[in-house]
Amino acid sequence: MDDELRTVVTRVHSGEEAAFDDLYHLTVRQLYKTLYTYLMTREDVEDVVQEAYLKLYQVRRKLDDTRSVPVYLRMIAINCARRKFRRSHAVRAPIEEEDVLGTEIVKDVVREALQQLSPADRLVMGLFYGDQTSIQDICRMTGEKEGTVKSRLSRARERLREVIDHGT
Amino acid sequence: MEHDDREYTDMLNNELKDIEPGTGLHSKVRDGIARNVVHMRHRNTALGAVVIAVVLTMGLSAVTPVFGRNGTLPQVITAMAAEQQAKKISKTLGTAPVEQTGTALQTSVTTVQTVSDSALSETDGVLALVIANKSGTPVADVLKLRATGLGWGRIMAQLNVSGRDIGKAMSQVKAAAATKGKGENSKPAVDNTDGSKIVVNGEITGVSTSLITVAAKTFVIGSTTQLKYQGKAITPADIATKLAAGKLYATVQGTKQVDTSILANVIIVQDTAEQAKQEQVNEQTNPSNEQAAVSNDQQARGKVTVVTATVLHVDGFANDIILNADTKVEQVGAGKLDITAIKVGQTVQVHVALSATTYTAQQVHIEDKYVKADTTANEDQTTDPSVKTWQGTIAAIFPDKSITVTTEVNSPLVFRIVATSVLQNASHKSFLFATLTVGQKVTIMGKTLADHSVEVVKLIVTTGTSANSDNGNSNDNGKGNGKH
Repeated sequence: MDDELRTVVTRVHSGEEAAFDDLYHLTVRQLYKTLYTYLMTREDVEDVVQEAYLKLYQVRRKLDDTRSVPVYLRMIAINCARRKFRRSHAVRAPIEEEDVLGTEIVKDVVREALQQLSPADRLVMGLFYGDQTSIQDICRMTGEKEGTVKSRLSRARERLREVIDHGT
Repeated sequence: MEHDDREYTDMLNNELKDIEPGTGLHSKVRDGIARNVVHMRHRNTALGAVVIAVVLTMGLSAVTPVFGRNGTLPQVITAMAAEQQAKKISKTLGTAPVEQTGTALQTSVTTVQTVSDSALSETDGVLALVIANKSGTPVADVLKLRATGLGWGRIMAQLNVSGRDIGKAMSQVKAAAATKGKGENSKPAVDNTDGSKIVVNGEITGVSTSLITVAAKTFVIGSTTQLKYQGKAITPADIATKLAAGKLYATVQGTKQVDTSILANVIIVQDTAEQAKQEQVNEQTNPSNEQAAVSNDQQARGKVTVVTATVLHVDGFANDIILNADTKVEQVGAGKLDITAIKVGQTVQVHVALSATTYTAQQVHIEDKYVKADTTANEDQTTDPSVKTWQGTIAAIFPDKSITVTTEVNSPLVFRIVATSVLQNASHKSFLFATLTVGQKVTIMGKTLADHSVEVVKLIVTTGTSANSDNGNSNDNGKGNGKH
């Protein structure tokens, strides 16, 4: 995967148009899941994915450090998602209530537990456990300090444990 | 139930296992990128076109008079800057900025009069004077260019005057104005502080192609030395010939050189001793005499230190000024007076004419405000018997610059305005002939001609015009009190 990504990034950097499609296919699945843990709706995730890849395309010629491309992509995506989240909150009814009480209410306990976390805690949880991203990379992606990230992880675990153990 | 990290990972992966990007998402991403590429291409094309247009316009305007008679863009910018400076200096000077600029730049009275008589605004008048001064062009030529509609920038380019020249001249005017505020503005703007200027009047005792001795002082005749005799150029050989025939006199203005020799700048040769004053050797720092040597008209301003019936001495002006019957005297708050109104201690501005070595006062303007006394009966009179005064009302104005004036004691008289005629309102501000209107009350000083018409020396509008009259000091009785 790493070798393949490196090759693709090199091709993108050299200006090969089709290489960007390959880069998309290599990275989109992981990005999609990460964004879902934050936004929790497919519609919003797709909007953010489009925006993130457009931004990446605009700087494609400057991509030289292949190892940092996935981190960089998620950094862009997280910033886009934050803006999206703020805009959604400004015009929509509280998302937590909609998610919990609306048509998208999930029966699954884990999912319910995740939805009860704050989006930022959920994102850190998703990055750390879902994507196996290191604490340092999470700090780079979110712009938060290591202590903050660890606190979020601890709080998220605590909350998940409570919900799963006691159902509340 | 305990949960370790592995369990959290499994839990999340299990939860997110069905969360996959849809098949259409890639198309959406591609469409978004394609739209963006097109948008960026259009934007760059438009931006490039704008940049090219701006560059082309700038380039074209720098070499082509795209602004019509205002010239090229740099010329327009230069003109705007120059006009701005002129406007500023006009405000700084306050009253009569054209006249004050003329004084500061040491231009002749007629030059200032020419500008004052033109239809230019005060700001444009100041600029015209400065451009004429800096380019060495007669102001009439500058006015002609302006009259054709050319912008100042284009005129400046044509006369090879830069914006920096204008700036320097404005600074000169400003400095002169500041000095005037301290009552010392009779000093020329180009001050000779090194005391190297010398003016000598006396008999010529020797001359060669390279040297001339006047009043026991020897001057070097250089390539830049101007030699004049009766207003015309003369050579050292001609002087030698005349000298061989008899005594000859000269006024020499020179500059001390490093090697202690004195380079003659101007030599004015005279036939008689009367023309040259007795042994008047002025080794002085004030270079106003240099100015006198090359210009027939100049102005002096300062406090009166000595005044007699025939001689006036003004502080700061090195030479005695001759007063005669033709000398016009005016005072703030009183209008025209006679020579006896000039008192020691008054601040005066004197228009001086140099003839040979004699400085004659043409006009003395007393700046101290007039305090009315019992003995002012002879106002508006002149001691020149040939110049008489009339008062009356303008009955008709003719295109040939003549007017008829009705007085109470005379039948309508024809007055002719000539080039030397001075037209002033009651505030002594000059105006154009074209602004005269029928019905205005006027005081006219003039000389009767053979055809019984009168050549106007000076015409003062006392009432009847909104633009040029202030009624301040006028004798508004319409009586023809001319002393015929």
